[in-house]
Amino acid sequence: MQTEAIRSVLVVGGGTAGWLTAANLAQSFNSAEPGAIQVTLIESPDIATIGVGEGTWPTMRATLQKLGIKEEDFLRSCNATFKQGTKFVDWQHSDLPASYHHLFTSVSDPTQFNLAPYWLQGRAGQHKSYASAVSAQGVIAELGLAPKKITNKAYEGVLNYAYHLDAGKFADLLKNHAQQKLGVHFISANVLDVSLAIDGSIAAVITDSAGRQQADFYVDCTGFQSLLLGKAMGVGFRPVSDTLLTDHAVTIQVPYPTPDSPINACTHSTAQAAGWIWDIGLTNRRGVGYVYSSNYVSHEQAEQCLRRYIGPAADTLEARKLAMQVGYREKFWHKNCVAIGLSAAFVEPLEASAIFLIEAAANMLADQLPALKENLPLAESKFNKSFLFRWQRTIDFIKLHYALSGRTEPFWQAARAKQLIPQSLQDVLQSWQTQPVSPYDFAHVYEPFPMESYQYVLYGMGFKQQLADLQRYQQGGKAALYFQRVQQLTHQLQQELPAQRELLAKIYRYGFSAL
Amino acid sequence: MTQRIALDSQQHQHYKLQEDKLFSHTKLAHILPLEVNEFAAAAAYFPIVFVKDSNTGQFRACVMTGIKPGQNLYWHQAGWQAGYTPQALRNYPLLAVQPDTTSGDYVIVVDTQSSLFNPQSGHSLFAAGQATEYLQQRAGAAIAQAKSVLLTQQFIQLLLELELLVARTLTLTPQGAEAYDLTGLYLIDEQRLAELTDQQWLSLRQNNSLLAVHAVLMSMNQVSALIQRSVL
Ligand SMILES: Cc1cc2nc3c(=O)[nH]c(=O)nc-3n(C[C@H](O)[C@H](O)[C@H](O)COP(=O)(O)OP(=O)(O)OC[C@H]3O[C@@H](n4cnc5c(N)ncnc54)[C@H](O)[C@@H]3O)c2cc1C
Repeated sequence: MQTEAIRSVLVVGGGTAGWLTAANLAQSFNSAEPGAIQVTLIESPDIATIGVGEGTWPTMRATLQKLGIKEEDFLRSCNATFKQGTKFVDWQHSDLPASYHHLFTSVSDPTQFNLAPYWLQGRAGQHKSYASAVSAQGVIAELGLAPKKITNKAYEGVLNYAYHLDAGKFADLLKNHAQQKLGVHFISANVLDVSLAIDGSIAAVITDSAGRQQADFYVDCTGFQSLLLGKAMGVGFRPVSDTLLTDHAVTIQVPYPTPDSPINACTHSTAQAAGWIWDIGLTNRRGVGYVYSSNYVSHEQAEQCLRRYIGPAADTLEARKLAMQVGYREKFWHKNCVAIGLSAAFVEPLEASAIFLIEAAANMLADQLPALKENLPLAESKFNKSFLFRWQRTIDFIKLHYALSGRTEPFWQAARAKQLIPQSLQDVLQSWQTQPVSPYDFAHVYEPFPMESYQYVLYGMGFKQQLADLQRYQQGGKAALYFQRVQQLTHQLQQELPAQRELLAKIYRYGFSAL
Repeated sequence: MTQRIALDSQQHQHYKLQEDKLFSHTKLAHILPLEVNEFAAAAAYFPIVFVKDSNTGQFRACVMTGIKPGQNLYWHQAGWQAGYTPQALRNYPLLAVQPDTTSGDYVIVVDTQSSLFNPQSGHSLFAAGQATEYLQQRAGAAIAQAKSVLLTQQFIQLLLELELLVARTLTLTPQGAEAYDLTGLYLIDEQRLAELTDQQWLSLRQNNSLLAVHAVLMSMNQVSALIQRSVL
């Protein structure tokens, strides 16, 4: 029994998490070939997917490429657009308009050469924002330009980029591709029950129309209900609602006024009295939603606030309300089951962390799923340690946005109350008051957010950093060259890069070259 | 900037076409389009390279006529300096296009910016509402070119499928000047060619593409001739 091989994996749930995971596993195991490890996915024909989750991280390019999906096919079938970061509007103050960009491209990787100390000393020019000192991308995004040209290869950018995508269409694309190209078996059925073996591992899932389904390993992608790991195996949930206060979202899909309306080149995130509104541009519509805390605003008020943000266009549109379970499971992997997606953890979607952590979990599972059942405990402990770290760091990073805000509404005051800031975040914030952000603050290889992300948010939010020992920063000449380069690039790329729609039209027509 | 409109027997009844044996419109072009049926003839005079069309991102085949943008080393006031002239040059300012690919009909368009197309001097295009023999012959050549463009696209598609194209940067050091890089050029990768499986070789042969591949490789000898020409 103990030396049995793992030859089959059953994924339960067909949302973004389920299909990304099944496709990744099947690709990694070469499941389309006879004799390879089998990957099966069961999805309920009755229970809808969450239907949101439209902002991604640049890791999605590597993921799609790995799965063998052509970039032009993906863009076309998912109404997808290029995302070049996030613009945070009004996060600093309640009454003084201000905004900043969290971008994906910097002229110098700060872990190699950190420009921030020189920017702080005014070497990039007085009154120059950090983002516009170290990157051309903010200006490009503001102009609604694409991060690449038609002559670039598929998945290659002049500037680093991610995507905005239609979640439902994305799951459909993955579903087709996974079955037709990667050898995933698909079963449409409702899981009614999960039967456990004596040792507490999963023995089988019982379905309404496909009988009893058994596998050597199970992946729980059933969304917030966490049917396998949470409900059946009884792994507990650790809420983080004391740290991150939002608990609901209300969303509206807004068609463009005309088919050629410009498309935003980054996610917009605009602070509101009890949370914030995301605004994501696809090719055919915007996806807009208010993420809020129901302790500070009623559901009706929240919906009104969202409608006000959208304007008269919202009058005829329907709003959808979602409850969010914010927190993570005590374990993500337990015996012969791992949870990936909403079933594992969720924090408010402020930095589009959910999908990229799904990609990361699927990658790690594909690599670490042991050949023999006897090695499961080892893989379990590695995986749990890794993802506990990643989720805690994600929580810290989200909290950073709130901790630095000077907004005055009760929600915002509560959100930055010191006793609710994780100690790990308090520690780094303390050191960053007099020291630059350092690569040593991000010593872990699987750090979810890189050093540059922290810098964009810190300096964008107006964090006061008073560097001690200015004599330590002797490379002003080199820094000046980089700052100059950014200005050149900003100028040059404005001339060269096409508008999002213009590029998308060309891609639909000609596609990208693989070369 | 070229500006193309379709030739029209009413609108252009008084227009004429001049011929320019110097091909002055290419004076500043360092690459010029070439089609696959011309490779063998062109290979003895120019390097044949592949570049991406900046407007569509699609690959096209070209001859290199200069080693930096704005330079055509084959243009000379005494006459074209090579034993072969690409058909696109000969057909200029005419071009055949297929507005509707399903019907397959071609329409002849003209670059109205060209002074070769004018109401004053040259060969008449229309007489009594009908295309002249001269125009018919020029239009026939333009249509032949348009057909060979399709063959070239198929050839390039095959090269891409077999992963035979590689990006190459030519680092050039003109005498007494600083070295610079000419980027955006794609060549046939000889090493990759050597690694093709028998079946892949067969697909090249069956598509009548071996000769074209060979011509491209042979044409690489002309790179040094081009550089030589640039220092003269
Ligand atoms: C308001 C909001 C905004 C978000 N924005 C972003 C964002 O911008 N970026 C980002 O990365 N993430 C975002 N997320 C998170 C993102 O939506 C999810 O991480 C992602 O969609 C994955 O969901 P899932 O596949 O885990 O769950 P679901 O989409 O809920 O899928 C669950 C699946 O399980 C199946 N299932 C359930 N029960 C059964 C059963 N009994 N039998 C069989 N099948 C069953 C269902 O049919 C469904 O297919 C957001 C989330 C919310 C709530």
